[in-house]
Amino acid sequence: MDEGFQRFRREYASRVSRKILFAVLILVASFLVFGLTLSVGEYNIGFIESYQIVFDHLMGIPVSDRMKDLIIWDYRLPRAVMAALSGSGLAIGGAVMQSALRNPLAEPYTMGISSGASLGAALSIICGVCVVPALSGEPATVINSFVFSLVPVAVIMLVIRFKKTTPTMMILSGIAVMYVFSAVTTMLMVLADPTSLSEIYQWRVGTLGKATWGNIPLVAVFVALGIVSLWALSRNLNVLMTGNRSATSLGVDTRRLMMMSLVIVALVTSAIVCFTGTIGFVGLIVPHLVRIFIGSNNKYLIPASACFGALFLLVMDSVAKVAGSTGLPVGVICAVVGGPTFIYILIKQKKSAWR
Amino acid sequence: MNGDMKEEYRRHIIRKFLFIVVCMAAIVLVVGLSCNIGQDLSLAETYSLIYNHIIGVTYLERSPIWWQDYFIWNSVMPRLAVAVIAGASLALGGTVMQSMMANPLAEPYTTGIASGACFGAVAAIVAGVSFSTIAGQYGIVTNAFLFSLIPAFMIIAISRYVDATPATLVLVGTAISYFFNAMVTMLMVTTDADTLQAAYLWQVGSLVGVTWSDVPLMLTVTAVCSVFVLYTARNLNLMILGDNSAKSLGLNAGQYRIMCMLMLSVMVASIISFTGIIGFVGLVSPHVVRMIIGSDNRFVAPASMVAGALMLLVADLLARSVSVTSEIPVGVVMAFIGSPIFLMLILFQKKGYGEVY
Repeated sequence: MDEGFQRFRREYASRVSRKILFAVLILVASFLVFGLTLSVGEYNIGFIESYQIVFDHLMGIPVSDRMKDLIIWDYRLPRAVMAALSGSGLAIGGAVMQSALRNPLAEPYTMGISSGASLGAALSIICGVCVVPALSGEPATVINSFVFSLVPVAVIMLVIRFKKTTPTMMILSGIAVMYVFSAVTTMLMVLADPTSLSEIYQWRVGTLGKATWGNIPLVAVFVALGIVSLWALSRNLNVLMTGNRSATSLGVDTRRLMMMSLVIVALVTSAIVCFTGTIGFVGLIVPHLVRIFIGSNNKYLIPASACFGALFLLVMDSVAKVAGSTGLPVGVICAVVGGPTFIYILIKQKKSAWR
Repeated sequence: MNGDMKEEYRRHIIRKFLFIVVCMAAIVLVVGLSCNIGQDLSLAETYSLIYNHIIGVTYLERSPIWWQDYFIWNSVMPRLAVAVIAGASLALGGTVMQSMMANPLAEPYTTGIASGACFGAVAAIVAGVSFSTIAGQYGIVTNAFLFSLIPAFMIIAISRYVDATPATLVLVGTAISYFFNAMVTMLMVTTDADTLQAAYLWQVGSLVGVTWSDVPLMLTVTAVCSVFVLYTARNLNLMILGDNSAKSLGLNAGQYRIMCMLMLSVMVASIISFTGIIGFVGLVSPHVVRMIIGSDNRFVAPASMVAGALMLLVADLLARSVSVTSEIPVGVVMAFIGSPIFLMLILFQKKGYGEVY
């Protein structure tokens, strides 16, 4: 008995350390890829040299080559930081949504955030309308898409207040709101002239190219707070996965938990989307990939997804940069490279991770 | 006691039949109204015109009534026929998918059919790549049809190698549709603005420009598939319980799922290659029907077919009555009017719908 217990403990410890090892490995890999993506571009800068420049700049050591410093610090670094931030933000959003709604198809955009943001952007780009008057151009698009992306979430919150919080209910109300918004967006896009259509289409595909130091602090704060608070909820999310009734009888306030996790995911996602456009695929697929490797325990899934999401988007952005100077959007690369990889891993996995 | 229960059961069944009958009556009404738009005819005259055409009355060529008959029969009717067939088959596809995958987010396009079709059509429009040598419109249709079958067959091929649970299949489908969507996006962002507009308009989906010659294929495929689904609707009820329960109740769940997917793919492909991607109806119509008459698939399948047809007809009627000349895509109207109603239904339905999944 005692020996069995010891063996059980050892086994458990080794499993946990495997999960932690996975997260650490991903973190190291992200760090390496971070350097890689800094060194990739039209102007050739060495792999080690890129780190050197970043380090020097941080320490305030004057850099000999002003040109290289400018390229790294002002152009490539913001983009890489944005890639890491939005990758991890979208990935934890997906992980939490899938757990909270108990649906493998759920993603951060399931609540209609992307359709709201698209409508906001379309209003600004096609009609020149902004919720804050006297703004136009790029800032108007950002503010519009942030404000509009939160409207569907507000509607869902209202539904939750008055109705039962079954996942199906929430998914269905999300779908309803999403369709209203995307109907208006489609209408605007159908009536738009070809040039505006092309611009809004580009926005919807999502790009990291517009990242600047100006918008990174905001995103960083949202993503960091999101990761910490969702991680704090992870134990309750695990309980929630057993079903609403079991969770309630185990002492979890399901309504509050669902509302909290949805609001946090919504804020993080909106903060990312308003600067990058709706980058798809990451939020849906990355949590599933992580599940295949380390299982569905939210305590490990959420931080590991955050690391893996950052790595995933950094790799894809590097591929996007190598693939063409025409500026292929990173969302496209994610799906083209990631889709087949995901299917391959699905085929290769030993047992299904979604029983 | 026993009699009471029988009586109550009978009332339940009658209510379900009543729903279907009411929807059918509404379809007839909306068809009449649609034919009426842009003509100075009373509703009764419209019906008599349609009836006369069906029984084979012919008019003096180029007389006013001949023109009216011609307009209704060659310009409005094909469109209505396609609306009915498309609505019914997309709704049926949604019903089957949702039950089969036990997932309320599933829709006929979940297996990637739409993105495949999109890729085919956009490739034809943007790059001029086509499987067929037929130029123009039919090049796009053939291309869309052939490409839309690729994801479906990929899933069926892959399902042999993976543990074919609903979750895995749905994820494979989503990954494939992401892949094709990305290819579409790649074509679209690299093309010029005007071609992008043409390709985007195809994607939105509309009933503009359909003719009688499009109807036979759609009708045949839809009829065959719906007979299959309606005949085996009992099995769908078992599928909702999960694969293990379905198996222990004597259904080969995996095989039935593949059969259904094959059927649905061909059916949906034959619709959307003519109309483009009409959204909303396939996802929402089964949910609406379930809220009204419950989740028994023997009734949900036929009822959502008539409800889907009705939804698409009403949306088309509204689109055309708002403006006869500039065409608003029917999917947009449907989503715009339909979603608030859907949300209302969610808010005001009494029992805890949504526990079935």
